[in-house]
Amino acid sequence: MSDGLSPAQASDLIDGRYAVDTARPLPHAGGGVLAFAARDRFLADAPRVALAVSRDMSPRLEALMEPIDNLMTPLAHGVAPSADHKTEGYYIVCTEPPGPPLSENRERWSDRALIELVLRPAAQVLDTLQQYRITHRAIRLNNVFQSASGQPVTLGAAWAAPPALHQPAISEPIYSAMCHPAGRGVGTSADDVYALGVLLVCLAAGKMTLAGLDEAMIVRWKLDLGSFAALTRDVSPSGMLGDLLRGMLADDPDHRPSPRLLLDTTAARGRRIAARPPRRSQRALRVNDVAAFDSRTLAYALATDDRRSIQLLRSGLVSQWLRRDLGDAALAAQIEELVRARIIEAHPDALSDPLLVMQVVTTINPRMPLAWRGVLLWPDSLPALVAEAVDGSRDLMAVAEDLVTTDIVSRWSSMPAREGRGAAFVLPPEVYVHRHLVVAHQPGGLLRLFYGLNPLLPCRSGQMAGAWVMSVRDFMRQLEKSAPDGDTGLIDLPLAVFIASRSDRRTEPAAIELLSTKKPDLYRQREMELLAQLQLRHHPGPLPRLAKWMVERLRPGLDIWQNRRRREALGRQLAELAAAGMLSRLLALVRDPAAVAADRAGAQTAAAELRRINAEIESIDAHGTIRLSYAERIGHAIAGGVALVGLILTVLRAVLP
Amino acid sequence: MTQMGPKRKRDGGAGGAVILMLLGLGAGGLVALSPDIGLPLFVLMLPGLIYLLIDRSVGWAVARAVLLFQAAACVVPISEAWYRCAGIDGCMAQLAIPTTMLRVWLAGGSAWLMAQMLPIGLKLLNDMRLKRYRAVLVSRRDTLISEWGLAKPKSE
Repeated sequence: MSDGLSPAQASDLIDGRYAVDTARPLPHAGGGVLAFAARDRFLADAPRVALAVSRDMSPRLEALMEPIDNLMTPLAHGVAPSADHKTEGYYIVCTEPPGPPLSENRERWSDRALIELVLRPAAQVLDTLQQYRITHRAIRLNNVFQSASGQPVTLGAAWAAPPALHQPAISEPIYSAMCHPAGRGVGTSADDVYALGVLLVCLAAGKMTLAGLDEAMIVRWKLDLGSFAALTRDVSPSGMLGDLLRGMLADDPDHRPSPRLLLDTTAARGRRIAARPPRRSQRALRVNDVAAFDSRTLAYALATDDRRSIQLLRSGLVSQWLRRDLGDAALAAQIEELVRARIIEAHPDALSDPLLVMQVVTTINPRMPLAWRGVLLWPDSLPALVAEAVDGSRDLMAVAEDLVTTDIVSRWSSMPAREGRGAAFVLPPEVYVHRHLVVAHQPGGLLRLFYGLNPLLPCRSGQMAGAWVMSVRDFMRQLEKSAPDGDTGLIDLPLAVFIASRSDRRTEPAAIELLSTKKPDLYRQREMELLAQLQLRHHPGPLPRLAKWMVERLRPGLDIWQNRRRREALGRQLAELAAAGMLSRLLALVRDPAAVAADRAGAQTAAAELRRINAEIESIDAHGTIRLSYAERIGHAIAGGVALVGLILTVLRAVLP
Repeated sequence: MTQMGPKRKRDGGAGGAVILMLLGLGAGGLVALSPDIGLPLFVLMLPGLIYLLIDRSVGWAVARAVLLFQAAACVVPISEAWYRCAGIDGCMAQLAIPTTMLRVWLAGGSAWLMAQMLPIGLKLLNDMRLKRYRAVLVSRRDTLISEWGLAKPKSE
């Protein structure tokens, strides 16, 4: 190996270049994500940061790009071992932060500093990202860094977790903040502008605004007062900054300035779009603990509690409140029409009520995200949602299954009233590939979807817990490491699902077949066949430990060979082949149909011969009396014959001269 | 043919019947041609004839051998006495002498002894052959059982 690296050392490097030092955690560098020091093999004086990817949160692959100023740009990603080499992790190597995060600094920033050192550099970064069609979605106090006072800030990394997953509700626009953290979706650069606005407010105040409120309360404040008013309650931004923030914190994303516009603060300040204030009622409609005075708060309240919403809708309270208290008769009529259609539905099913709530919520507030069974989400977050569901959230599991198995997303997306992010959401193709598995409730259906949607997330089987197993090749490598010595099964349901998901199309049927196998003997056989296939197609190298395990599994199967010598010879050959580590050869040796048929034929011939021999021996043992009788007859016949011959000779001698 | 034993079949087959018929014809012819020789001949053949009555072997095989041996032993004395003796007394004096009688009767006894010993000898020979053959079979059986894992017979 060049550069004095052994093959083992080289394999520990990400991209053959970056070494992760898991013994040196960097607590403030990840902005909430676990981070470690990393070293560039080719640039020793350029320290790097490795962000650890959670096993349940898919990293953002699309974010790889050329380094960008004032941004912790991702440089490479890959698997690296821990310091003790006992476990593995997946890391995204980024440029290092220039200093501590802004959350460490509690000073109030001046307007000039905010604009020159925060707004402009951040807007420049966002503008560049927009050119790459990438959103940041992680602009928050603890993820923006500054080397020293007077220096421009650097945006932290946002690549090791799904978009906005770690964002606090305060940094997210209303329609994203109200979503499940895993359901916020990719978003738009307008969302980044909003987060940047929140950052500016916090820096101007020298503290986190709305601190001490829980996320639901923050959303309700923003809904009640509007984001700008809610966030600047404790701050008095100057005219210039106030104008900028008013635009940046607009609840309607279309009213926010673009990152490029923010580079020119004068133009951004001058871009004022008057938003019509929402119509408010004098009397609130209470939905659980939410008092709705306007339609968008009502939509939010209905979206968060499915059962209560159905009660209110069926009783007519919602439409009555809309008509009489809010004075929106047209909206009330639309809601009544939706409720009536649901009531007269000929064949209602389990989806009818959630569908009604979803339609009502979107009709009341077209900017709302998809509301399903009390969970709010943007459909492009499906991979992260499925990952979260598979991780153990039962509510999300039901939501994810519904999203996958029905056409909810397309129905919601195509609702004429809907506005906001994008015109239409299209589910990833993997959903359509695996949909039938979830619909049929096949074992591991949703797990297969999880693997399909999150290609970088590792195998979830407990057997692979210490390793980051993404591909079947990694799987075989890890299996070789952890192969047990005894005759125990290796591939359990999660592993079979993983193989079916991450293997090629030729191997997938074998894995699916294994999943549906119930008989233990057949499972053993198919398990070994699958492993042999996997080695041939994904890991052509020898797997001696796995081969040794397979030999132990095959030994009992040698009993089908009835010829003892052949059996013993096979046992010896198996042991020899195990050292070579080729699984398919082991199977071929034991499962030679012609040889097995010949062995069976030989056994049948031997059994027939044994029966004949037994009969002969039995006959010999049993027929002594018969033989004596026979000997008597022969002996007497001989005696008679001798006598007759003697008589004839005597007569002849006497008669002849 | 007379049934001599209640359970044992004494069917000598066509050969035995022919021989007996020949014997009967010979005896009848002898009595017709030379009645004086008939009586001594009857005396000489008496053991065989008596044994014919008590023989239990299939087809009177033993008695037949005895009679044939006695007949063979009688040929020379009879041929010598055929032209020399006259009358029953003369023929009796010439033929029914102890030496001739002893020789003929010993011939009958030898026939009887041979008829008794031959089956035993033959049985012993056959048993020796079968014992060797059985050992070969047992060896082959053990090989098959060991080689193919077959079940041993219950008697083993």
